[in-house]
This record gives sequence, structure tokens and C-alpha cells, in this order.
Amino acid sequence: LEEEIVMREEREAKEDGRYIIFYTFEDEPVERGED
Amino acid sequence: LNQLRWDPTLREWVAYATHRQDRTFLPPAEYCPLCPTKPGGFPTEVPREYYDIVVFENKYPSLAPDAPEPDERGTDLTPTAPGRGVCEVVLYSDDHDATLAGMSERRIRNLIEVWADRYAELGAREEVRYVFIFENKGEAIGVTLHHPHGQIYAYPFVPPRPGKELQAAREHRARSGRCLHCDLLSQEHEDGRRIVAKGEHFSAFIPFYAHFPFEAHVYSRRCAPSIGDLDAAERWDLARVLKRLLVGYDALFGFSLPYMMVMHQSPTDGDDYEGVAHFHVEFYPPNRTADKLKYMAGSETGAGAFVMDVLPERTAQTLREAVESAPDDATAS
Repeated sequence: LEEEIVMREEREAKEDGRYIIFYTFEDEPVERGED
Repeated sequence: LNQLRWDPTLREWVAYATHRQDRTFLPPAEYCPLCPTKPGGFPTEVPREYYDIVVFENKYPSLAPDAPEPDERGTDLTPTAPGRGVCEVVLYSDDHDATLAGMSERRIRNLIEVWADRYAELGAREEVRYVFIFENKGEAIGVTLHHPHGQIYAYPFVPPRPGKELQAAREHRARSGRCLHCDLLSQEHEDGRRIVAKGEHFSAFIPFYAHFPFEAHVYSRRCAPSIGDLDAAERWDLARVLKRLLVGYDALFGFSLPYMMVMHQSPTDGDDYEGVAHFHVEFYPPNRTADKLKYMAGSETGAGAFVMDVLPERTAQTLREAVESAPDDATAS
């Protein structure tokens, strides 16, 4: 269970200039209903 | 408007953010601004159909990076200052009905990685002296959005409560040569009556001096100053212990327990906090029973003196039993 976490981040600017950061993890791809 | 005003009687800053009066208040689930934006649906804060963990700048920040010098200049006795800082929202999941307690250890572990990343980045900013990671959960606490999320306030000052705690820790170290929190944790381990959950690197307990009936603290065994100082094994163990505690909280009264969760750690003001700051998480659930809340009333608010009607040894036993009675699939996911 204790494998290394590989985290990626992707930054975007919202229309009003605020930033938003999307974090994704190699071990846990974005899927619904996993929790 | 983001403005700080100095209270010379308590020697603390008060933040004013008048635009927050207009923030979204308990919208119906189909109009949740923290859910993903669905094709043909209304645009939420997150312009994607799915997401894992997301952080963005709060639309209604208590502190803003570009806060101007206040028009109200104050006086020498009661000065003002720009409310400069950063307020972020951390979305734990794109599932509107999820809670931290119901998430897998792995997702909580990933969230810890995000918290550590935000601590490092925000703490490196020139104007930021303290990175405060927290979650308000439940309407009893005053949340305005139910979607699972926490917040981060990057303050331009060390806030009063952590500041008072750090001062006490510094004095304890000067007196004894030891870390105050390490000593407190040793005392809790030796006594044992208030321990709620124990991992390899973290322990959860109700402190001897709890201010709320089910207030729980989660301490790292090692004297790590911040979340960023935790190694991989400690981060996994923190995820495990948080999960066990949260599942226990939900088992207490048979419903998803409201709470405030806060993290205390090293300020980022350039001073040396080695052996003084000791990373830990504190939970303050307002419930004293299933249907009765502990209020911040006259003595607590006006005198700053908490009065409790139940002993921590008793509530710790109840909470420990709730943690231990939780089904395996709730604690071992």
C-alpha cells in the first residue's frame, strides 16, 4: 500500500484571473465511484 | 475590501472582508459551485467534467494578494493594514456527497500530498507568515457549501492561537530543553486513558485539557515542524489515523459528525521553530450529545474560559469504542 505517490499538477487561469490547480495521481486515475 | 484592524486590547488583528456577505449560501445540490461542470450544465468553479483533487483561489477571500492600502488609516493606537494574503479552496473529490471519513486511505494520503504542496508554495511567498489548513464541516459549524472541501488561509501574521501555543512551546523548551508537544504525547501514551487511535507514526487522543467534549488531537511521534517535513511513511500513517478517527466520529451518534479540523505547524516567517513547532491536527466537533451542541457562550467567548460538563477520560473511552467498533471495510480501505 505504501508505494510512492506520484503527483502531477496542472495550472490554469480562470476568467477572472484567479488560479486553479488540478492535481492528479498516477496511482489513482480520475474515475467515478472509487470511494 | 480586504482590511486588517489592530485590536490593542487583545493584541491581535481582525480581518474585514465585506464582499463575503454576498457569498453563495447553501445552494441546492444541482447548483453546487464546487461540482464539476457538466456538458450543457451551468458553469461551476471547476471547468472540467471530472477531477481528482482541485485547489483554487477563493472567490470571496478573507485575505487577497493584491489588497490595497486601506482608505481607513486608523490611529497609532488602532492601526490598519492591507488584508494581504491568500485564501484557497481545496476540493477533496468531485463526488458531491463524499466526506473525508468515507474516502479511501489512499485518497486521504493524496490529499496530504496536496496540503504539503500548498504549505510549501504559499509559505514561500514574501507576505505569508503562517499557512493555516482547515476544514469546517456541517451546518452546525456554519458551512455554506456541502461539497467535500477544506480551506487554506495564508496569513500575513502568525494568528493568535497558534502564536500562543508556539510561545508556550518556546518557553517550555527554554525551561526543560524539550519539545512541549513531545512531552504531552509521552504523557498521553503513558496514561493511555485518552488515547483514541494509535498508528506507527501518529496518535489520536482527547487532550487532558480538551475544550470540547470530543475534541481530538492527532500528533506526529517525531517532532516534525510542518506537514512538509513528514516523510512518506509518516504521511501514509497520518492518512490511516485520520481515517480511523473520522470513521469513529461518524459512528459516535450514527450520523456524519460536524467538526472543525485545523492544522498547527511551523510559521513561515523566517524564524527558527526547530524543537518548538510540532505538526499536529486538531478536531473540534461541536456535539456533546447526538442532539445537543457545546456553544461558545458567555464564559467561553467573553472570558475565554471554557467550562466543560464531561471529562476527557469519559469521552475518550466512548470515542475509542466507536473507533474500534467501526467495520473493517470502513477503516481498512
